[in-house]
Amino acid sequence: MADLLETRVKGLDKALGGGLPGGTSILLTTETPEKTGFFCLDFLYRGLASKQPAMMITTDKSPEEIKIDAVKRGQTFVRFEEKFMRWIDVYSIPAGRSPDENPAINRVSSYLSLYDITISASIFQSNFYKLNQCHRVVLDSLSTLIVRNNSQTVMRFMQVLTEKTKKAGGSLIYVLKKGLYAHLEPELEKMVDAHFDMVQTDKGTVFKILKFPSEVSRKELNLKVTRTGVELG
Amino acid sequence: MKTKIVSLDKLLGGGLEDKSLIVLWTSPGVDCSPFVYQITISALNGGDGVVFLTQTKRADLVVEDMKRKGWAVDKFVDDGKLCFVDAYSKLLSAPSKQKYVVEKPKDISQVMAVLEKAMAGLNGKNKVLIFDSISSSLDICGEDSLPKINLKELADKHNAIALGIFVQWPYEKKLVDAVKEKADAIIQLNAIEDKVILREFFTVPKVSWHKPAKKGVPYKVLPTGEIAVYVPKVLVIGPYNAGKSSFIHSVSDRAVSVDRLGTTIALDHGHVDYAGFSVDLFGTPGQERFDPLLEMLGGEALGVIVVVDSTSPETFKRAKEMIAKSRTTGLPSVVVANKADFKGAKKPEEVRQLMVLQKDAIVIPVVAEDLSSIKPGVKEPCKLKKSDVNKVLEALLGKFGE
Ligand SMILES: Nc1nc2c(ncn2[C@@H]2O[C@H](COP(=O)(O)OP(=O)(O)OP(=O)(O)O)[C@@H](O)[C@H]2O)c(=O)[nH]1
Ligand SMILES: [Mg+2]
Repeated sequence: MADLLETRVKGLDKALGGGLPGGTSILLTTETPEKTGFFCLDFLYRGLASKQPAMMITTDKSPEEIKIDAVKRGQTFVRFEEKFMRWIDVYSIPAGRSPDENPAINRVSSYLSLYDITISASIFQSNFYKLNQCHRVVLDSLSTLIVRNNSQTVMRFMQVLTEKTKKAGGSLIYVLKKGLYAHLEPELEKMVDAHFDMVQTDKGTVFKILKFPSEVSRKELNLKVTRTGVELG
Repeated sequence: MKTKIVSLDKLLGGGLEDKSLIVLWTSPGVDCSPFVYQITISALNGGDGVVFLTQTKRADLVVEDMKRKGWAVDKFVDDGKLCFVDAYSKLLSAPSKQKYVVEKPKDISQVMAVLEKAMAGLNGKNKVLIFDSISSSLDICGEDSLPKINLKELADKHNAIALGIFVQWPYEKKLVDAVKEKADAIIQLNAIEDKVILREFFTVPKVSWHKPAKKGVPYKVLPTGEIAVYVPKVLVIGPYNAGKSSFIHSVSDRAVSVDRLGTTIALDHGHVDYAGFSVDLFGTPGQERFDPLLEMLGGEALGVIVVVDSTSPETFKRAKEMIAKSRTTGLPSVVVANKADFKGAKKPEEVRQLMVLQKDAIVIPVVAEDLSSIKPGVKEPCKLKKSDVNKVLEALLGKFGE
């Protein structure tokens, strides 16, 4: 594969045989939402560190909360907010908060305003494209959107977001909390290029590569949360 | 009813017709709210009443968004001219402050029944219904709810205009066609997309009371919230020293030039928002050695301003040659007879004759704003009289409106 994007998430590139093909869409199913959050932020942060813009669509926490948590692991997203880091906050307004204005954050009025999310994403991605041919996107989480909307509506939204992101050279992760929507997994998996899965065992967190466009060297890795991010091995 | 969006009213044969359903057609990523808001405000300012249905967010957040985008609507909310039907809150079992609340928002018949009540209770010269949105109804109430979205009947009954928003998600073609079929008119927002959205334009592919034109109008949303027709490339050409840079700096408060010793060696670039238009201006150097640039830029130009020094008739031939070289003959154009403040300057009529222009060609005399500020012998762009410059813009933009 020619154009592999190194994720720079420790241990992941090796397992994937170099990295992600440009414009990969990924479904990340999980039993451990917190660790998944770490993984996703690490994915975005490693990109930022190599001048790839990043966008986080967040439904369960405010960008402000996420940023504070990340600082504890040595990741200061704020310093990228001038240009490279963008947030779509689908949490704060529905939760009845009234946070300060921040040009790096677009706040969407409700979980049902999927159209507004696409508008914000388009604006951000247009600017991303001027900065770098590739960028990274995380949507955490698909489950929350499905609870409020019906699954068909969310899948149409996903189809549009994936298409737009790929066109603009972005790679994107959709987080799905397992359990509630197990029955949707096969259909969702069909809509993406790759499927990763995170499960909690007695030995720790296992990161599984269930679907990937090319041959991978290992299908199961252990995920450790370190002081500076996550590590797969 | 006029939307007050130039060109859109023209494409609609004057505006929106009573007793009709107009579908504002958009796609994910293309924001239709500037259109919704401007139409809402045009109606309210004209003394009409507006019922606004919201299905995906709280009504007070719509008001806030309008305010943030430049439209003060509080007074209309207070006097009941703008009234919301809340078909959102009860989806979350949340309380609502609105007078009209749909208890079961997933039931389209209930939504329509509450709308009917709100329309009946509304006062105003005429009535407008903003239905936000047909696509959300399909998502929330199910795709089989389409036949029950009887906006046309509602518009008929209340002598009103119904504006239904439709976001084209990847629905099945049959459904999309059925929405098209329902509409009396369609205002469609489109994006020119490459890797990302580069530019947006509107079309009116369907209108029952007027002949639809196959025309796409690029637009921009101004900081005031208004929609302006975007003219991305107007070329400003003319012989050496005629006053092109002066013209561009006089229309635009953020113009840039690449000059050397007072003469332009690359480009002048300026931007102006005027009379419902948003225009980018490109000025070329007058010296002949830069003529290749003229040919290059001419290809993409949408209009031309030809600047001549009306005291130098010997340069008029050169001006004509530049028009030919830029291949802009036939585009909307205006001739600026500059330096009309000098003694012996040729009158517009003389310029027309000497340049051998067509009878209906527009020639506008322009003078410097302040002659005392012009240093004799120093070549340096100067400020031109604002009212003259505006006349030039009006004449040119008038041609785009046609
Ligand atoms: N009196 C008077 N002087 C003017 C007027 N317009 C321009 N000038 C002067 O004419 C000279 C040329 O103006 P520019 O705007 O630089 O002309 P230009 O067409 O951009 O010139 P090039 O880029 O070199 O081709 C400057 O010294 C201006 O101050 C006018 O209406 N009246
Ligand atoms: Mg010049």
